[in-house]
Amino acid sequence: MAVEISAPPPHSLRGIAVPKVVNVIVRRVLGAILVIWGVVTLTFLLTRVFGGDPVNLFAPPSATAADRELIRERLGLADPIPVQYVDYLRDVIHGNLGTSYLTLRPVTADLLSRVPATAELATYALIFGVTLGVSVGVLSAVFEGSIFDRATRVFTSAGLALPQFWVALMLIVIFFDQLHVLPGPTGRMPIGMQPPPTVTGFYLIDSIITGHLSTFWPALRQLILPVLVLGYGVASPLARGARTSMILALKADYVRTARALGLSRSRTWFVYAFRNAILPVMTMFAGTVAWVFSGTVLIEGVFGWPGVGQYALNALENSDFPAIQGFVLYASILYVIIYQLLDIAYTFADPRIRS
Amino acid sequence: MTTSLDPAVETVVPKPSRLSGGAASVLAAIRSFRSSSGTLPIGLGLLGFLVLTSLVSLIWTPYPPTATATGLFSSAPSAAHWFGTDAVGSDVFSRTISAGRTDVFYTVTAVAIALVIGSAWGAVAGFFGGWFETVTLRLLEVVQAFPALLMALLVISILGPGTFNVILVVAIIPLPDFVRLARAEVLTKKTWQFAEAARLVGNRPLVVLFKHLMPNSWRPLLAYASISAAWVCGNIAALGFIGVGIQPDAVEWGSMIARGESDVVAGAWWEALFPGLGVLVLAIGFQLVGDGIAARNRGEQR
Amino acid sequence: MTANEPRNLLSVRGYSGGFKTPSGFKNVLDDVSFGLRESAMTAIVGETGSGKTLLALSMMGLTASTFVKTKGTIEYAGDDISTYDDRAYRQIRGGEFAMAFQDARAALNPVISVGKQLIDACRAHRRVSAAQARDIAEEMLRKVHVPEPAQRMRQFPHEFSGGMAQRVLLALALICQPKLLILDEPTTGLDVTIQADIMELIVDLVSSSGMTACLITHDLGVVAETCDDVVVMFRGKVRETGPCAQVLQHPADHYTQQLLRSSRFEELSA
Repeated sequence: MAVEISAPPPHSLRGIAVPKVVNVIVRRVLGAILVIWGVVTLTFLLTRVFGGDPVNLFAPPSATAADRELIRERLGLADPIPVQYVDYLRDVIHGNLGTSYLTLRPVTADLLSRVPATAELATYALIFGVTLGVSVGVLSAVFEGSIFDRATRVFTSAGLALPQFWVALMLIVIFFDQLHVLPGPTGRMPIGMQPPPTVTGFYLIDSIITGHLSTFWPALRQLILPVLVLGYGVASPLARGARTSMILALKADYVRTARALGLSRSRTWFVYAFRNAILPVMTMFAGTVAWVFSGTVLIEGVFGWPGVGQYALNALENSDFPAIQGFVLYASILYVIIYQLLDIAYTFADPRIRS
Repeated sequence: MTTSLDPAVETVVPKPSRLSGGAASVLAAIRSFRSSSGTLPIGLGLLGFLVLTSLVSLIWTPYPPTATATGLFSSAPSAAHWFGTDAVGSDVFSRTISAGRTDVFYTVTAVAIALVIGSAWGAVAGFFGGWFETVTLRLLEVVQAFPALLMALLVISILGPGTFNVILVVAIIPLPDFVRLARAEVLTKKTWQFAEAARLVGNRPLVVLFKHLMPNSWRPLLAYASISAAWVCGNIAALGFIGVGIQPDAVEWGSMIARGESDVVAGAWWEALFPGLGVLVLAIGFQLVGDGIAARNRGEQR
Repeated sequence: MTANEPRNLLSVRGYSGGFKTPSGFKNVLDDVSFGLRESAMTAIVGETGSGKTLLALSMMGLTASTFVKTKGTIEYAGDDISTYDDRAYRQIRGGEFAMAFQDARAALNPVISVGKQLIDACRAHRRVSAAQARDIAEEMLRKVHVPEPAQRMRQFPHEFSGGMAQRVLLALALICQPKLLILDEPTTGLDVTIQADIMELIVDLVSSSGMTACLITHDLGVVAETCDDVVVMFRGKVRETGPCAQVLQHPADHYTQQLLRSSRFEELSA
């Protein structure tokens, strides 16, 4: 690989040096594979080596030693650890994460059936949180020291300190109990209401493309509070980061140049300063994705949202190890992939790294 | 305010002062705490308030915190029950101030563990470099690939419940950050002349590292410790809320919120509100203290 | 004082100001007066910290928000522009006054292509289409002797050497054909041979367009070779002003004499 991509000089194609880009992507992909392998291995070590004896979970208290041995055999736990490890790796590669003790269905299938609910919630929360966080942070930098800036500071400090599940409960108290303007925590739809036919699994989108417009508004109302809570959690650190980064950019020489050239204020702020300020903030996006993954576990629990987070919560309460393990593994792998994709995107966004 | 970000202000190379280490620098820091404006005193005030209520709860609470049926069930705040009662008739006020002991203790212990182990690990990695550093960085990448809370849930579900396990698990989450921070601190400082000098007069490497280099790095680490404590106490409450690791009936803020959760929909807001405020005050207190120390560190580098 | 000549493009009179700091007000400019003769090149010389850059930023209305003018005026076209707010100043900046900064690579935006920066600067004041602006930008790069301008337009500042970046910065400053060009130590940090090239280019551009120019420098050699008038500053005060030939050959002020002596010494020892 490395030999093939050494030839042409950097100044070749429109200022973009192709070899370097390929190089970065190759290195990122290899890095991702390495980290995923590490994640899988760590999960294996934690559950099989340091974890308790899973046989206890299957064997009734009355089981004899022979019964226990039989169970052990059937679970593949009688093999030596290295053999178990190889089996485990093979299973993971094939997407086979065992059977849930609770639902008696393959964990992968269970998780997949619940992905759309979480994906819809997480997508809107990320869009809302990133937009809010970046714009609030940038504006508070532009108006540094103003009342808006100080209000933002309080808003983000609280967002970093407040436990999300508690904010969720308090919002339910305010908007459902007291004001009666939003529905209670009954999941994706009000009780007794049918969701739109499934196409994408996103209720809002499905209700439009299948013409079941009557379900759009109820589904939207169910989404408001969980999206608000998760988005607030996303927005707070981003607003902080964007503010710091934007303040630095506004004080940079190139902004002074833009002003000296008589460029309009909006162009100076929102193009010349912002394009520089957003680059370091982009590296924070991956962190916000991780935040949402963690957040869904608690928030789905509070709002009765039938997604993977709630599934994991149920699994935890019932010591459903294959399910917990599968959830953590998938979430981590997904996170690694998103992280590396963002990193590649970042490479493309910054001309100094790109070429 | 944020003048520290002003690039026009020349960053003066920090002078290797405070070589006296230990007690002298702690004293100097305490003295300068007082002179610093803004967030630090407020943060210390909030933390002091929580410590005070926790101590008071040791000798006095209106009702025993674990007692049930002390009055009506799920009754709103009143003269007899300042914060109301919960579903099993426990006094929410008594439980809230007693729970402070659990949460403050868990948080401080977990952060202390992460700070000590993480800093030592990172310092050694940065100072000696080589394969140890490489392995450390790779390992951190893997550990940080797990979204924090999920990691905690997985580990605690394996280790089982218990005070020590909970503390251990929430300490693992910020640990990688301390490793990175300490490593970065040592990397920037190990080429300083006084480190060179300490080496040249024949000090052993570990002595140079921990007696000469690290004493100059403890304040950024402390600032981060305080900021991360805000997250740690949130994670402890989250574990309590989910009911993993911490017993469902524990006198702990997260568990109390969980007990109040089902009543919230019925309008009994007080059961979840007050323990949540406890978490909030603790988190904001640590955050302000951390911001204050960080701001002071920057101020001193001028 | 020679400030009151009739053909001054811009006159600074009794200009004083300083910074608000946490430890109180710190005066930096003290009763500064001088004029910039039309179509002439005036040097402002002084050592680091003498307030010469701050003076240039004051003329451009680009001082930091912590800077406060305490008295004096900056007169241009019959107006005291030192009283202008940012909006009013924006009409002058780039269009009538332009400034080239030291450290050109930092002064160019690292994430916007050089061509786009030129086009934006052009369209800030000239009513031209995007395509026309592109042609003007390319022509401008050619004028400042940037080779292969069409290709260079697509590149980013980090792909330019320090000397090339300074040329781009000059192109940016000149793209709207300003009446006044302020140059803040334009050759600092460049190789000596490139310094000479850049100065030669500046003199060419200024004299061929009939522009008024103000060169901020501490290099008296450059001043003697290129400038018509000189303003000598020391600790925020103007010590001496006048035509170059007179001030440099027969300095009246004690500090100017010292400055000359030390720079001659440098030349001899170099």
